[in-house]
Amino acid sequence: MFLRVLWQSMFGRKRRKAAAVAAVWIGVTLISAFLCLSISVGDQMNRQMRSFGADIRIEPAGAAVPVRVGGYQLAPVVSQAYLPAGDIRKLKTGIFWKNNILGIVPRLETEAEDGTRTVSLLGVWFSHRMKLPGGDFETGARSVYKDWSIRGRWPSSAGECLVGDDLARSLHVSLGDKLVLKAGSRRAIFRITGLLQTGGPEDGEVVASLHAVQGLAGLRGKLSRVDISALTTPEDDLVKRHHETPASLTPADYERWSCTAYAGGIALSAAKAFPGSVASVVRRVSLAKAELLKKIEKLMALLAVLIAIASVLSVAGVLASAVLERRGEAALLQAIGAKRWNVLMLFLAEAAMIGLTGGLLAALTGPFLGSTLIGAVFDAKVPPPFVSAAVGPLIGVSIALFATFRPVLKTLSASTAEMLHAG
Amino acid sequence: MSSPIIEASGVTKNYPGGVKALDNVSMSIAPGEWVALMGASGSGKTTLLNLLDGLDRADSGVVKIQGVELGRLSPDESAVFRRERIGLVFQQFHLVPYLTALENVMLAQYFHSMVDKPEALRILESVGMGPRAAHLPHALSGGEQQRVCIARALVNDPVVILADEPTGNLDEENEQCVFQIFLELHAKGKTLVVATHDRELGALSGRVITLHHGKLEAGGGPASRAG
Amino acid sequence: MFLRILFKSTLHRPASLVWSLLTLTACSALVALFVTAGLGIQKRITGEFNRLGSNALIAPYPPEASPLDTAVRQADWTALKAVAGRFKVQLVELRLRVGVVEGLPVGFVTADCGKLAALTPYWRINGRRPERPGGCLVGAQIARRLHLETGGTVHVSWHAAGTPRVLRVTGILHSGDSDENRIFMSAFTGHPPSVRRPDASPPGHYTYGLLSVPGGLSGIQSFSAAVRGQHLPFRVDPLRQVLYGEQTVLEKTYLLFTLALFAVLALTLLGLTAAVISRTLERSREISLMRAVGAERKSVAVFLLSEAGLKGAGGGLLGFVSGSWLALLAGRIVFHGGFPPRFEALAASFGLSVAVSLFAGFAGMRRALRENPSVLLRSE
Repeated sequence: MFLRVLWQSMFGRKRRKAAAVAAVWIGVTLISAFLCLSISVGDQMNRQMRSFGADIRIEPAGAAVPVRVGGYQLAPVVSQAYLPAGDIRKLKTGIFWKNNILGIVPRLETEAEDGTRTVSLLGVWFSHRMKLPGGDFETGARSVYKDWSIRGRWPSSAGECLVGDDLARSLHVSLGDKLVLKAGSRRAIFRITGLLQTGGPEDGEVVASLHAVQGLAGLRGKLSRVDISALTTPEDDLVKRHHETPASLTPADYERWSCTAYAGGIALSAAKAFPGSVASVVRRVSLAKAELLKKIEKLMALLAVLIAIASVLSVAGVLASAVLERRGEAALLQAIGAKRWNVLMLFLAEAAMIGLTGGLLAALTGPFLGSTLIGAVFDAKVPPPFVSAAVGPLIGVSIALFATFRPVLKTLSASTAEMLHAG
Repeated sequence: MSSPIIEASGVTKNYPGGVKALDNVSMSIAPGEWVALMGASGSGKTTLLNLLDGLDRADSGVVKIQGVELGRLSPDESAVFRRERIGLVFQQFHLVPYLTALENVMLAQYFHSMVDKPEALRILESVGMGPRAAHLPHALSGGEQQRVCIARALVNDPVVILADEPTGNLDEENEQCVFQIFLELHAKGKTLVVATHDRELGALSGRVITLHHGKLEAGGGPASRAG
Repeated sequence: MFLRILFKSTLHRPASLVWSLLTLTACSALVALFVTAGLGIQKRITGEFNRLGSNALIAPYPPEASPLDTAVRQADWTALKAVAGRFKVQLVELRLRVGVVEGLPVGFVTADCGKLAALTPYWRINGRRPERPGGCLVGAQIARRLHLETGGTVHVSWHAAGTPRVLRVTGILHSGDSDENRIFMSAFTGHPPSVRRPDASPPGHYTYGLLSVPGGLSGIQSFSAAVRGQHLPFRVDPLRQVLYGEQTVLEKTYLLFTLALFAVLALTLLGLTAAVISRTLERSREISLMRAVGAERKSVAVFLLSEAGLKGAGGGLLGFVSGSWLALLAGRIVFHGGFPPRFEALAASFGLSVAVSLFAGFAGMRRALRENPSVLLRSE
C-alpha cells in the first residue's frame, strides 16, 4: 500500500514533480561544474602562466659573462661557448620530467654587420613542430614569449625578422624594410615583419629564425641558450631545506623532493639533456607563479564552497516549497490513520526519488558544463571530468532530503485539524 | 412598479467536462427586493451569484445590474463596478488573516477610494463588532468573522448585497444575529440576493427563486415589494 | 493603508519571509563579495607582486638624436627621486662599473644593500648579503666561471682609474637572470660618478635603477609618462614577463568571478521563483478576495511587486553587510589583508537583489492574476 501511495504521489502532480527535478538538476549541474572548475583551476592557471614566459634557462657552463645593462653592452664578449642543438629533442624524450615541459625556445645570440655598424642578432624558433612518438609537440617563441609585444606580425619564413624597438629607432628602419646582414663572407637579407618590445635585451636586437641565424653565423647545430617553460609545483618548505641544509633531509623527504615537480628539480633534470650545461630557475618568474597559484587556488576553493552553499539554499527552497504546498495532503493522510512516521517516510522517499532523478541527470550534464566552463575561461580543451559525475546523485539526494526533512516535520507537528481547515 | 435593478435573460454557463451549471436562466429583481436563491448543492446558486457580481462570465445570455451589462466589462472594469455598487458576503468569510477586523473593513475602503477610519468603526459597531475591532480574524468566532465580513460588504454603501450561504458555517445564535442584520438592511431599502439552504432565511425573504440542475424552477419573475 | 497592508502581509509568515530573505541574502552577499573582491583584487595581486620585488628598470636614455653620454651626464637622479616619491615608487640606484677579475671583464654594482634586498627578495643566496664595505655578493654564473665560493676573495682591477681592490665573497646569488652575471658590493666605494660612454672600453660608471611601482602595468605607464613630462632623460622598462602574467591571471579571475556570478543569479532566480509561486498559491484566496472587494489587477500587481521589492531590498542590505564581511575575511585568508567594503558592491548587491526578487515576484504575480477568483471563493 505504501508503494502504491508513493507511486501515486510520485506520478500524480507531474508538473510540480518535473519542476522539482529540474531544480535539483540545474542546481547539482552547477555545483558539479564548479567543482570541476575549482579542481582543475590550479593546473589550468599554471598552464596559463606560460604567459609569464620561460621559467628555466639552460646555458653552457663556460658561457661568457656579458656586461650589459638596459640593452647596452658595457664590455666586449671575451669568449663564447655553445650547446649542441641536436640535444633539444631529449627534453621531450629523454628526461624524467619530459611531460612537464610545456614550451621550449632554443636561442642563438651572435652579431652581424649591417654595413655601417655591428648589430646583435638573435635566432629563435618562432613556431616549431617537433615530431614525437606520442604525437606532435608544437612550441617556439610565439607560444612561450607571450609577453612580447609586436607591432606588425610574427615572421613566417626564414627570410623575415623582428627588429627591437630601440634598434629600429637607431637604424631608422621600420615595418616592411629590408635588412642586409653580413657575417664574414656570408650574407643574408631579412624583411622586417614586426617591431618588437620586450623590456629586455631583445629591444636592441634583430630576431630571426634560428636556422637562418645559424646559417649566417656559421654556427650550424649550435645554441647559446635554451629557454624552457615548465609546469611546476610551487616551492615550499622542503625546497628551502633541500637548498640550505641538504643533510637534514630524511630519505622520505628526499624521495618526495625528487618526485615533486619543483622548478629546481626540473631544471636539474633538463640540464642533463645537454652535456656541459647549467640550468637555472628564473626565480622572479617561478616565485611569482608559485605565489599566484597559491592565492588563486585558495580563492577558487572559497568560490566553489560559496556557490555550493547558494545552490543548496536555492534548490532546498524549491523542494521545501513543494512540501509546504502539500501540507493538506499530509494532514489528510494523518486524519485517515497514517502515523507521523508513515507520512514522513512517504515524503522523504519521494524527495529522495526527486533528488536521485535530478542528480542522475546532473551526472550527465555536470561534467560537460564543467569542461565547457574550463574551455571558456582558459581556452583549453579538457575532456569532461566524469569523476564529478559520481557525486551528482549523492549531492542530489542529500540536498533533497535536507530540504524536505524540516518542512515535513514542521507540517506534521502542526495541528491536523487546522491544516485541513486551511487546506 | 420600478424598473428592475438586476436582470438576467437566457443565461447559460457550462463548466469544463460538460457540466451545465446554468441552463437558460432568466429572472429580474426590483430595487429594494430581498430574494433568496434556493436549491440543492450543485443546482447553480453560487454560479448565478458569481455572474451577478462579475467575478465570472456567462457563456451566453445577458446579465444587467442597474442597466450595466456585466458581460461587456473587462475584469478591471468589473472590479470597479463591484466596489462601487456591490457588497459581497461569503460562507467562509474570507478575512485577510494578518489584518485586524477594522483593517479588513478598511481594506474595502482602500480599494474603493480612500480609508475613513471613523466610518469603518461605525459600520463595525452597527453589526455589533465595535469592541472587537482590533482583533485579528483567528481570535474571532465564526459569527464574529461573518459580521466583520458583512461590515466589509456594507462599508462602501453598495446598492446590491450578494450573500453566498452567509449562515452556512454559523451556530443558531449567530444565525439569528445575521438574520437581524439582513432585516435591518432590507428595511433600509437595500437590494439583497442571498443564496442559502436555510429554509428559515428563505422564509424571511420576499421571494424565493428555486434552481434545480441549473434550471429555474420557480420565482424568476418580478414580485411586488415584500414588507 | 497601503504601507500597513504591505508590512503586515510581508511579516505574516515569518518562516517563508526568513527563507526568502536567506536566499536573497546569500545571493546578494555573493554579489557583494564578487564586486568587492573584483575591484580590490588587482590592488592585492599587484601588491603581492610588489612584495616579490621590483617590476621595472630605469636607465638614463638619450632624447632623440643625442648621444648616450649626454644622457648619462644629464641624468638628474634627484629630480627623478622627487617624481618617484610622488608616485610612491620604491627606487634603488645601482652604480655599475666594469672591473677585471682574472682577465675577465665583470660588472661590479654598488648599491644600498638594505634597499636592494627589499626589491630583490626572490634572490636565493648561499651565504648572506654583504653588510660592510669590502664584502661582495657574487652572481652564480660568475662564481661558476671563476670558481668562487662563499668566504673566498676576489681580486679586482679597474679598466679606468682606480686602485685594485680585494673583496671578500659573503654569498653566491641565484636569480636565473642577468644579475647572475654581476658582483654586488655594499654602499658606494670611493669613486665619484665619472661620466663616460658606457659602451666604450675601458668604461667608467653607469647608473641605473630598480623600481617597484604600485599599480601594475598601468602604474608603470603613468609613472613613465610623468618622467617624460619632466623632460628627464630616463627610460622606464617594465619587466614585462611578470606584468603580463599578472594581467592574464587577473583577466581569468575576473572571468571566473563573472561566471560564478551568473550561476548564483540563475540559481537564486530558480529558488526564489519557486518559493514565491508556491507562496502565491498559498495565499491565492487572499488575493482573490482583494479582487472580489474591488481591487483592480493593477492594484494587486503593485501590492505583490512592492512586497517582492521590500524583500529584495532587505535581502540586498543584509547581503551587502555579510558579503563585505566575507570579502574582508576572504582577503585575510587568501591575501595579506582584506578587501575593504565598496560603494559599488552596495549598489550591485542591492540592485541585483531587488531585481531578482522583483522578477520572482513578477512570476508569482502573473500566476496570481491567472487564478479565477470566483472558483477560489466559492463556498461548496
